[in-house]
Amino acid sequence: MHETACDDPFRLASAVRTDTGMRPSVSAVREATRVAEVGYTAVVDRMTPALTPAEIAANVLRSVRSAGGGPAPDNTFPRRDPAWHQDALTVLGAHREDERLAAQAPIAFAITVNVAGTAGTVAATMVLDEPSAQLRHDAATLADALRGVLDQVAAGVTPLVLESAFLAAVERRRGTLRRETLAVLRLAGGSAFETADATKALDGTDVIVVSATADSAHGGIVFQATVHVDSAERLDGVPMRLIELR
Amino acid sequence: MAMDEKGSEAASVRLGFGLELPMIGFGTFPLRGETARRAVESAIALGYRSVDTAMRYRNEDAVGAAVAEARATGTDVLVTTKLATDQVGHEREALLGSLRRLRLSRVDLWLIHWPPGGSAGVGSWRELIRARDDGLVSAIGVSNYSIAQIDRLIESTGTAPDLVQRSWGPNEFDENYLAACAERGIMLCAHSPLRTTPLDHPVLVETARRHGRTPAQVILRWDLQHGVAAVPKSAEPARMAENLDVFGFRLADEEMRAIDALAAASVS
Repeated sequence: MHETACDDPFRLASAVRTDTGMRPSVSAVREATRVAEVGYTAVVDRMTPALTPAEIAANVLRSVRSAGGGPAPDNTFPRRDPAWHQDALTVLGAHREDERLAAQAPIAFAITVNVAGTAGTVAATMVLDEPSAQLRHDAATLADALRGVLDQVAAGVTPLVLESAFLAAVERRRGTLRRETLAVLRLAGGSAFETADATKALDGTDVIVVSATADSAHGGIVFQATVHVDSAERLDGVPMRLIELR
Repeated sequence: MAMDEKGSEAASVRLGFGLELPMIGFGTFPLRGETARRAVESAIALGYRSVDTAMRYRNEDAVGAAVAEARATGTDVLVTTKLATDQVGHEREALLGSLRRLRLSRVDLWLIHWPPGGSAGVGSWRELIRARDDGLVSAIGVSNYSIAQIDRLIESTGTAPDLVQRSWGPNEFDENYLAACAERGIMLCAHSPLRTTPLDHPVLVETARRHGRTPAQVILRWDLQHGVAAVPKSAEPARMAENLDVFGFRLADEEMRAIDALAAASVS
């Protein structure tokens, strides 16, 4: 467990490297994403206000292992300061492992796993009490901006174009959002998700992870999708909206 | 109501609104895709008339395909599905998605899968009641709920779940929970009935030997005699048949008590 120290949120140079060798198949990424989703359900389904980050991480690890995976060697995704990491779990914000998470604040988290040398990741934001109208607005703004980006994902489009569209969309409805970041990762040789070259057009065969993070007045928010560029199929099924567990 | 010849326990039970629930259903987690479809088809061919799925399992489409095929040939199969916890506030949309994937116009039994955020989920429960009132589901219930959480639903809405599903096996036997369900008129259904108690436990092995059965059949028979329904899962047809073949013998009272005692023994 450790905290990251990322001074530039736009750097977000997340390389979730898990292996070296051939680029994994879409089916391998699909399986890794499925296992990451198992970790996600271990968070969301078992969540109660009594749990600490360390207990949540333990639930995640147990579920991920039983599904055939393990934590990725580099588990610090998404790289954002401050954040709390343990095993396959990252929680945005400054947290102590033995401190209960506040019910009214958003709990933004990511699961990053390794399945047979292939990385998989999902992320979500939840709240355990009725959120304020402002938090709902901010979460909807970030989610809508990411959806707009996903609509534009296609072979030939550059990550720079996607980021520009994202920033413009957030700007139109900013609310209390700040430090908004769009990370586009792609499967590279060596079975890793690496930050995509901002000026290099996406290839149709790419599987990319598009991750939107921002701070609101109430805390960090993250939404994310894993997408096969050619088919525009989203490989994960995690809701891209504020999850209200109440 | 179908009756068991030798055991005298009913093979099905009537829930609210006239829904006849088979006491042994077919659990489908974690089967997916073609594996899930083929398994459900096999289960139906072997005589299962109740299939348990969930939004979370990501196999509603496979279950729906198998059930649609069965219904096309005149075989009616009861379908249970569950609302995922992350659908709070989006319950109707989630149900319509389940109905579409299951190729149904009405779900027989719809459950809240987990208490959302550890709360009772009263808002979601109101939506389940509304769905039942609107005829989109026949019966409603919850899964993995404590009695305190169930009571909160009842206090808030005046409506008790028709059924509660939870992990339930000899190692988890809780007489108070069972009694509390009975007092409230709630059917208890065991999910993962064969997962939490070692099947090689001497009490189960010896009881099985006496009856010429398997330890898994003894556990399911123990459930039935406690009035608990169960949804065991297997992808193997032989095992599916075995799990369904639990109506032809009866555990003696002392055998029931010995199996009940496994829970206390597992804690100590």
